[in-house]
Amino acid sequence: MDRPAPDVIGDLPLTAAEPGTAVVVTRFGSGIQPSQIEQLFSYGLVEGRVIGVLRQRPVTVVLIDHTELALEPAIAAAIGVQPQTASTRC
Amino acid sequence: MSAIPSPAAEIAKGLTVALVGHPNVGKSVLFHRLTGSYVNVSNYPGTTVEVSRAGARFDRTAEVLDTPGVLALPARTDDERAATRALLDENLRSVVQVGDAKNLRRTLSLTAMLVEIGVPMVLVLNMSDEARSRNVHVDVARLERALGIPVFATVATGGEGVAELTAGLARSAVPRIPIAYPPAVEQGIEALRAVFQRHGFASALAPRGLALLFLAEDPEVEARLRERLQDGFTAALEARDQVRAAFAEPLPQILSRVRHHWAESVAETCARSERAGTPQTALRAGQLAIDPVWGWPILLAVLYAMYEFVGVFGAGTLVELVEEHLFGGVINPAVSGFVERWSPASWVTDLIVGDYGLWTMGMTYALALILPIVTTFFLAFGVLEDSGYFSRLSVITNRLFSLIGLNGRAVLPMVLGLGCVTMATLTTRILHGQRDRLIATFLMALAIPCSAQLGVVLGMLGAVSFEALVAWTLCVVGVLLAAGWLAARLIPGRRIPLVTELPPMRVPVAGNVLKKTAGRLKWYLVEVIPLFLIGTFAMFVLDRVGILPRIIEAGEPLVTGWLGLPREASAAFVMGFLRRDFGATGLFAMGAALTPLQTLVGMVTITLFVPCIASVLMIVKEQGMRIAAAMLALIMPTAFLVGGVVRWIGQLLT
Repeated sequence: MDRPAPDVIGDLPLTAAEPGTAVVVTRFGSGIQPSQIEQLFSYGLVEGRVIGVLRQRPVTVVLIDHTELALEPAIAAAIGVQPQTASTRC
Repeated sequence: MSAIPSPAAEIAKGLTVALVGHPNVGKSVLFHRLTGSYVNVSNYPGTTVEVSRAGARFDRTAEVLDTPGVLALPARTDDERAATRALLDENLRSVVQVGDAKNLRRTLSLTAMLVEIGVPMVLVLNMSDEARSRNVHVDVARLERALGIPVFATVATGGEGVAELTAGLARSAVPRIPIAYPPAVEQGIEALRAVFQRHGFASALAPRGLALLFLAEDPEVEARLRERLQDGFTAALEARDQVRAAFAEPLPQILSRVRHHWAESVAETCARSERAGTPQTALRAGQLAIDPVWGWPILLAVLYAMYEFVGVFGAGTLVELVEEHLFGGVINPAVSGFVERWSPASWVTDLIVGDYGLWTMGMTYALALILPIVTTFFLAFGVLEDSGYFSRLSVITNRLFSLIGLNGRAVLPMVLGLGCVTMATLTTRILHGQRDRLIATFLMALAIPCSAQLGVVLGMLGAVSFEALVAWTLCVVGVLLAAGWLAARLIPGRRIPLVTELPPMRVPVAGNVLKKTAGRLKWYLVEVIPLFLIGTFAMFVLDRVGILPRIIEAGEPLVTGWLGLPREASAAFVMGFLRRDFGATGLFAMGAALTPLQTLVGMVTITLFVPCIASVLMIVKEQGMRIAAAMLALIMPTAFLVGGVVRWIGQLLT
């Protein structure tokens, strides 16, 4: 899958990402239980993956390849992301 | 449907083809294509998770197994455990991994685990049409070379690629793909291999795959090793501890990450995605359904449509047609005439067509009153399920459910509970975590009326006044929220935040909806009709030996003194224990003898009263005898307490 290298600007929680933008997943904070990190992994939400942010209310909804995933703010806030300014692919 | 009850001799020859894959990738549709079978749901040993099994169309000696959708392996949910058990216990000819062509990376992350178990396999990239419409192009030939197994692009709904798949199944191959794990993990795998060998442990699955599943804490593999290795299990645990000690992160995450990176590297060479291609209409419809502003009017519209279809058409028109005209006018008079003519004794006549007759009460209830209501309910439920709306509903109701210690996923069993609480109790398995299942089960047992009961309640209160209906709704929802709020604070453990996939919104496929409805109706009838007959028989015996009047007498202080209902209402509560709608109908039969306030008090109490026997048995099965007893001990006093309070408030206001 053709993907440009992420252009790193800074680290922010997923909840702060603007809807309509693409971000790179950088880390999972301690606020998420290991079993839920495994669950996120199984949806393809892993470090280094570029995801699209579809909306932030009432929950965060992201697009991972062609999978829409809804995340409650408590989870989304514990996921670190970096904005991707290069062309998006999601 | 040509169901094969898995004859042991055939399985021993390895004639089973197992479909394995993520949820919502079209496995069941492919199962139908391969077998001609729509529903052949059987309980898998040790669990009630549904595994379908049927004879293959393409090979009369083979059978096809449709395993529940798995998010990932190692198993973390009951569905995943059932899938692992199928892999461990069946002597498989081939594993057919069914994946979503448009989500190749995710599909391959599951492949990465399956390739390690040493079973011949093929990969099916289903929903290829959706991938094409999203501009996702997979180089199938290249992927075949990379994986060393046959790969097929299919559109199971239209049958595209299915003939190629059945013809190519014979080429199933054991993948030989080097997925390199960190050195400490590889050392752990070798140590576990040595333990297996030393203790003479053999399995149909490759030792490397078993070792990886054990390292990732798969509960089924762990249980199997504990049982089979016996003394050697300690050595296996030590080997795992050594690997764990090499990493700061939990081992399952380390292993999962390796598989994802491998999947990513394969996907990058075998697929390309030309710009964002998700169809905007489906995406927008899905987004609108969870919009903080538009989501609620859409929900109200859905609820209204459901009320019109189930409440008005099902519980009104259909019930009237079937109960009054068909049963009341034609069938029951004929059955009564026949029995009265041929019955050897009057008690036999009473047993079959008397007041508590097996036919006139039990079967008439099950077929004439309940069946039309649950049929329409399950049809409506199937439409919502197939459209992808339910996941959206879990998003917009998430905040509400957070008040009662749950997350929005609980909306599915709760709504299903409005159809049949027994079935919904089983469905609490979709919730992650025992605490969530416990709270949801308790709340459903307490305050979610099933469709049959709801039909009777709506009919009775509707005849009283709209205000009475509103008062009943407020009482029941109030108790639900208050009990949930308390339960969330009293039951130890943390609330699990919502994480849920939102499948694409699509127009429901009639075949899918009918298939699911038929499966649910079959389950319902098989469960319910015997219970109705047992319940009716119990009532007949109680009445015959004169115990019913004594129960009525014993319940008098509570029913008459506290609730202010006529003394005969005690019988309704006895019936209510057999089935809640039985109880409601017992009150219904008293009809004009009740004042509007008595009707409201009776309906509130009977709604909150213990769930039916079938639900209680299901709670025992899912939660254990101790918890089920504790729930009943809480629910019964609560029902009478609330009923009495409603009476008291009602008297103050009138």
